[in-house]
Amino acid sequence: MALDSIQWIINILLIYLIVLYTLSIVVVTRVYSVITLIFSYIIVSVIALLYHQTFIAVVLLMVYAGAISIFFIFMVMLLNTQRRGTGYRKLTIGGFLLFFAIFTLVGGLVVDNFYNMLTIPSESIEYGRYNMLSEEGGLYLHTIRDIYNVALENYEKVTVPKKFVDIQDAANDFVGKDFVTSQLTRIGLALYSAYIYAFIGAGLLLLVAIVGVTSLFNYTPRLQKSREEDNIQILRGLKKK
Amino acid sequence: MLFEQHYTFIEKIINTYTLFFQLSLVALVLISLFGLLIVRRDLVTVLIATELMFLNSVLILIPFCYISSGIEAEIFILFILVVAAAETAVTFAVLTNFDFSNFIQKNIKNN
Repeated sequence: MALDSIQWIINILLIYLIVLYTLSIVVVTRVYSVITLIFSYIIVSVIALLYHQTFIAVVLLMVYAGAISIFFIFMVMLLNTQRRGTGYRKLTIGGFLLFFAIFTLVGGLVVDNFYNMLTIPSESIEYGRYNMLSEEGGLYLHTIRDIYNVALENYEKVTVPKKFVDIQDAANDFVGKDFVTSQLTRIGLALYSAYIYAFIGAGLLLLVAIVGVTSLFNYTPRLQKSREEDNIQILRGLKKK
Repeated sequence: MLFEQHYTFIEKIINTYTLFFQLSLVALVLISLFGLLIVRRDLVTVLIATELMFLNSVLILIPFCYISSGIEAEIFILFILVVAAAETAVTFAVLTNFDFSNFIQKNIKNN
């Protein structure tokens, strides 16, 4: 399948994304806006799939549609205010049903084209390395051990890189340009070698967020605290109303 | 040789980031800015618009993952995800712990 047809599908998905963005901001009911947000996450992950970024698509679905959207739904439930201020047009259920019907239609088209694309990888092979499959004649290496095993067979050619940034380049240095590694292996190796400080920084940021969230949940404002103390004293009879 | 490499890379960028893609990205950024700056009645809307801005940055980087041979864009997307998740958790805690009734009463008393 040529890239042009994929580009058309991506354009249609982008139009959908614009519609979903406007709906998520303009819609009156908060639950509907959260649902449109989830759909926009799904569309972005589909776009990532069409660009052969399977790992990114899965992570987007897991983190955004799985975790952050649930946060939003919790927020809507806990704040207990379903509707926001007046002045916006209401969205009817019929409009939503029509939109989801068109969405599923286009989704079916995308899935159909995506399977066609998977079966014929040779035309778009020049655009990236990740879509090269073992059918092309190259070996498909999953782990670093596989690379070292192949490298040990060709011991004379081996030159160990000092900074192990990209496993693809390392594999090319070892044995030639036929070797293809999985995207997950490359990202994992890069995170633990060249980007280790950034990785630790991200972990620290998440730790600070966890500590901040727990301390915020335990914190009660001063006014509320004094009210509670007053109530306790009134209940004990120490203070009059 | 170097010039040829650069030329092919620029050609890939032009082929991947089409005019429609660029225009739609501009539209998406403008919509999320509209939610952030103009529709400021609701805190949840502002939060949703912030998430949409993060999603825009991810969307800009996804085609770059496709055309580049390195993995810098993927790493960038992962870190954007981390920041978005941390921001959402902290805002969730602030919003749920913030006593709106006190805030409203205080404002009414002042008025």
